[in-house]
Amino acid sequence: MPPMSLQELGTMARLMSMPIFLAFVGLVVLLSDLIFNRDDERRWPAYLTIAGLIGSLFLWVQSWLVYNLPETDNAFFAKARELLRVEALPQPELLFGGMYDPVGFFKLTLLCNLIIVIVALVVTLIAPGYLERRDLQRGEFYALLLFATVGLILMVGSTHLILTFLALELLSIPLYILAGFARPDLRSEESALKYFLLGSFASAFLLYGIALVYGATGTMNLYEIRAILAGDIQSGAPQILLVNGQNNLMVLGGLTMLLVGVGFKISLVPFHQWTPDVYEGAPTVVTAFMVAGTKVAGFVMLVNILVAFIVLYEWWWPLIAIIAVLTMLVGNIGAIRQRNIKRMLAYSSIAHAGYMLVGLVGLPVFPNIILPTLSLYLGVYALMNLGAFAVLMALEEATDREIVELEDFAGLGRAHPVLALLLGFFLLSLAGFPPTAGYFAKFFLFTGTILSAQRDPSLALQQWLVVAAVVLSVISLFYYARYIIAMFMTAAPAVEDDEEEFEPERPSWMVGTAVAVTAMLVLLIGLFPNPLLALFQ
Amino acid sequence: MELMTITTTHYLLLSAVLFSLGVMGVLLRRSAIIVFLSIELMLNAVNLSFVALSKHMGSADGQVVVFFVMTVAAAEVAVGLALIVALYRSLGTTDVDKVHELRG
Amino acid sequence: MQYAQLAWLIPLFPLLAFATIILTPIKHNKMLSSGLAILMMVFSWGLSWAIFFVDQKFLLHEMEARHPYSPAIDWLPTGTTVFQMSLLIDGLALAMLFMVPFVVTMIFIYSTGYHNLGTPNVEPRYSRFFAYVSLFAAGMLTLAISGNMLLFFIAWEIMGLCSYLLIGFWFEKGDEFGRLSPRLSALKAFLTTRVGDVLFFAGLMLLYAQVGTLNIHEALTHENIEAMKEASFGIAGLFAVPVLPMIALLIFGGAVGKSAQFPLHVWLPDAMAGPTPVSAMIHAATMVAAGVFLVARMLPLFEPLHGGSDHLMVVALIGAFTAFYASTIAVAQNDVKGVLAYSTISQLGYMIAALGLGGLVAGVFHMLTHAFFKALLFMASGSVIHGMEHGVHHLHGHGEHDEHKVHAEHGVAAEPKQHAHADDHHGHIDPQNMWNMGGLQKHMPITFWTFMIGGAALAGFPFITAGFWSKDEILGEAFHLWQKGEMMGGLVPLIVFVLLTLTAFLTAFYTGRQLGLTFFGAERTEEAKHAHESPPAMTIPLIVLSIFAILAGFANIPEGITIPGIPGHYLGHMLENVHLAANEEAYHGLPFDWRLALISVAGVGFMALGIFAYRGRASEPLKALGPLWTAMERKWYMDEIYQFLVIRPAVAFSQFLYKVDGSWLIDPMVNNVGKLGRNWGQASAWVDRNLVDGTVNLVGIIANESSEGLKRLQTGRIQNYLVILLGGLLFLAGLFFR
Repeated sequence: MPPMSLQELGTMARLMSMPIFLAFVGLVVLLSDLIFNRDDERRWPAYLTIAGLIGSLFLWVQSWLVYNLPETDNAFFAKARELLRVEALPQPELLFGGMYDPVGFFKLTLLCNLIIVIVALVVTLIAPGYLERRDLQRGEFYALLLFATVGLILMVGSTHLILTFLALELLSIPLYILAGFARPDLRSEESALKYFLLGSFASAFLLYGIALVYGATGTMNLYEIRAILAGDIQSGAPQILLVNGQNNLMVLGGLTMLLVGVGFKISLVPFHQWTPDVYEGAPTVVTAFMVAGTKVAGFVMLVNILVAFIVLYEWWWPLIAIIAVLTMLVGNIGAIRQRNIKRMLAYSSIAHAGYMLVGLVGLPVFPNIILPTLSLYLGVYALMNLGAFAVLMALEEATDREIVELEDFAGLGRAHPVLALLLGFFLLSLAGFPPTAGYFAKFFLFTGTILSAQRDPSLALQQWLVVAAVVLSVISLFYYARYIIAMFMTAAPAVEDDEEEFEPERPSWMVGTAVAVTAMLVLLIGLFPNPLLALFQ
Repeated sequence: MELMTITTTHYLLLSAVLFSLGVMGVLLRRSAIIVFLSIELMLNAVNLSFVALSKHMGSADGQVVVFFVMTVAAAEVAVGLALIVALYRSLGTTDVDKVHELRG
Repeated sequence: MQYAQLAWLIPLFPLLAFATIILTPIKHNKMLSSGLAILMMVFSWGLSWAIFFVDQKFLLHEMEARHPYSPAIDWLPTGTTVFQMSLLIDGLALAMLFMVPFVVTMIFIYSTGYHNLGTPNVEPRYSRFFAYVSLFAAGMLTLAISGNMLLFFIAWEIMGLCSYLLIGFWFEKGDEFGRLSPRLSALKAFLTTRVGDVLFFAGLMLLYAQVGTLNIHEALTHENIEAMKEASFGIAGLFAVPVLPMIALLIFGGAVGKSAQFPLHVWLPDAMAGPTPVSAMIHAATMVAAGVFLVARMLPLFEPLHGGSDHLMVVALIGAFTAFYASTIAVAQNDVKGVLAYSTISQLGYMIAALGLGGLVAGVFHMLTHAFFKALLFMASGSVIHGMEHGVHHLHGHGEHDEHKVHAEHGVAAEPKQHAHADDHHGHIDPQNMWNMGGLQKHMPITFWTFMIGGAALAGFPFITAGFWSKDEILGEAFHLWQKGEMMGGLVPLIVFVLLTLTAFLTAFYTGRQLGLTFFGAERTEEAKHAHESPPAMTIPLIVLSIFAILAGFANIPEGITIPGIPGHYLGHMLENVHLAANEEAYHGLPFDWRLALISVAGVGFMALGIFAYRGRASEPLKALGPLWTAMERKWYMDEIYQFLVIRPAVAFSQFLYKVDGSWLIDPMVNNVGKLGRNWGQASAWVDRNLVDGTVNLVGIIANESSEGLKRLQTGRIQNYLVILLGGLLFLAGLFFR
């Protein structure tokens, strides 16, 4: 690689500005904890974090503009292109020796960066109140959150397995701590230990997978892996483990292990078992972050890996199909008997991972349809879950008690009609009830798979995946609706003291904003699905 | 007598064996610390593969990975041990089998 | 075209104001709410005028090249096609963009004064008022620039909703002084216009079925119209209904409802129950123009340039009849707003008649000038009422019957009953009755002069007022067609011409009557003596609008007259190519005809007659007309006719249906069927219980049990999870190495 000029370095830093900036903000927040140590200053790290995240939104807009300014002669756009120095930009493949791609296939990375920042923003908005109620206000919470966010962003943009591994760990290690943040609460500690042990076990497999792929292809760059497997470039790797005279065994072994590592993060069956336990035990705000953020980034990572191994499509699609069916089955059926909403949402997130896998099955046939719809689905999924968690936080604020078990929901529809309606809205959207955003997201995603099955007769089996997904999502209505029924159709348990007499408290502005933003976005996507999808294409 | 040369394949096999030993350790031992050590063993087994492959291919990539992995492992140790200590304080044991309040 | 690209922001600004006021705590601060609403409206006004002045050349050029500027985004997928949301910014939209945001901004500013901002009498639902009018503005602006009939219809309905909300704004008030209560008025307006809306929507569906798109400039092409001309569809296989007239008349039905044409005009006079005069102003200047705008947009469906079709003549005749009919009623009204309400219906009739004669430019021109001077008149009449209320308030101390005060009290300690009998005069007078006024000239000079200018424009005072130029053009259109002998040998244009000429005289007369009763002579009541000029927030918009009530007429100076510095046919050039793609021909203006100007000169005489006949008079001189007068005063018994022909039969019919349902037919039938069914049911119940229920239950049990099984697998022990994880890995690997 030729040495870089300072200017080139600057341009690259600009394209990577989001993770760099957020890591910096994370350090500032960490240090700020030293300054803001009086009780009435406890919220300042949170405010700093919010400011930093909003700042990174501007950086995102900048990078969006860089890659999406229309190339027309219009004076306005020309000026904007000049200001952003679009022409001077290197190809994304060249950034940091081909390790980082801020755009991704069909802008998947770019869009998921936005989703991730919104996730972090919403979590930061709902966190302070939650932490205060449990006397957990420690400044490092936000710093850890920011570091995990940086991990997510790098994971999404990584095109090199080293960076993928590092980003994954950068995400995981703060999350281990965050899961146990409610120390000395035993459940929180247990969830942290489980997450930690299972997580590092899975990352060891991921690492081994990387080693195998490296051994087979001689490179860890995903672009190069794709080219080598397709035979476009000669591999630098000599034949090491000769089985039947080819390297396939090593590549396939590596791919399997990579799938285990990623599958663990996005809780695919059978690597899902940590999910309900950890989600239940972790502090609710952390759960919200894991449900929304980790899954989004993990899926993009999976897509990046699968695209690199696109030549082996014939090999991996049945695998993905089987995992998809298992995941949908276990997710939906497991959720039926859950009476704890965090656990229920954990299973529901497993089920959603299954739906997304159904979408991914047709990936190489119609990437231009499936990847944009997948990013739409990821965005909707993240927003719906965040919205549900934000409403839970608002309810907690309003009722001054923890609302987790099914019994806690009784009578909320009467006491807090607006919040209850919003929660119902998010749950119905999660169930994919038309005409919510969840419905359109599913509709578009499955359309891609159906089209791919129709294109190629050998893939006709994929249609049945869609059938299974639809049937199971009908079943899913049962366990979502249970909470709605509990809220609106059961009376509140009799309360001895005259607590009911009080005016219901309004949620604080932070939680209120979080609820409003998520509800607005979900509503917007539900109302105008096509323009948004066009944006994603 | 022909001296048996140690090829890259041997290193890879050794690495696989070590990795499997690590897996066994994780699955079979009860003490959280030992389980954790076994995970470290797995990571280092992979490191061995990386180094051997790197040497074999004459490229530095693999060796760079090793440094990163060691750093990550160190970070994991810091966090992991802290977690285990915290759990020990609450539970009075490091037996992973006793940690099953969250289930079902 | 720097600004046209941002056109979609125009309706978004007021929509944002609406959402912000409704959803955020801003609503608790009255000043902030109205400030936000006005600011957003000013943004939208500025952007509109920027588009109008800067981008006009480009937009008109695009229009002339038969691809009008119409950006679109996909909206809703419908199987194979996608509904689009599109804008259409052609000459017609530009004309609306010039008028609507400007007039609406003026209303907003005026409203702050009208609702007594900054005084103890301030309207309690002040913020909500501004939220509603902002939503209204968003709807109207969307309508003006929408390029898709579906979006158009959405905006149309939003305005219908706003109209309902604003008419019923003081919903706790009863029926005062013989006027319908706001609640019932709102209902009446909503239901009446709904009849039109349903027809309109049916027309849209039919249009969509025929051409497969609702994007205006794609639907209205020459080929499409020719194809529709040929097409017909059968109703139950019996009648062959020609498609084009059907679509055109159904869509015209929407316009009849919204623009209050005969016979769906009955809602508009009662709509004056809304806050005086702001919502009345919506029902006079902007929103009711939407129906006219709709006809102008869809004019090619009526084939105006090819000799005129039968259904076009229907439009012309309805318009002309409405114009005449409403003006006769306006002569006999005593309510200052009532006169203006009927005058609005009458003037809308003018516009519709103009469009019915194929005079797109004349109709739209009159719509614009009318918007300015009628907005002015309504706001001035609001100012008069405000002044009169001031007098009432002054005389009756804590005047519990002050419009706002009463309303404020009801907000706190509601006792609506008291109001139901407000008619019985608790010693106070109706501040809206012109017979209680007189001599206000002295007390409210600004209001007087602006009212005078507005009235002159309405009466068509020659050469200097806007109303003259536009009315003259409509009359000219009719006269010209009559001379040419088109449309049934010139018969239709002749009828229209005669009716409109009579209307012009009547208009001048009742305007003079109104001015004479209100402003001239001596005060008839103590209250009028204590009337007071309104605050600047009300008078300044009046002054601004009165300037436009004069200047707007110079937007379309006809040939034959040259005024230095003013381009002739300015509006005409803007509009001539609007329907180029559909008509294959441009609209041409007519030269100026001195003979027609004489009508307006005669109108001045009628106006003067009105002023002098009613100046200082204590009772109605025209009562001498006897039953004719009574009929006019009772609005030709239209409400009674509706009561008799529509409402009573409808109620009776529904009662009949109820009886049919309840005792004669359905219930016995149901009972018998029920008996029959029961036996069958018993049989099938067995099947149900044992087979169907069994299956359903089985699914439930399976799901439940497997869920239970999964719970048992979820042991909570880390190493069990690890084993399953490893097992999964081996399973996958096994699949790979098969």
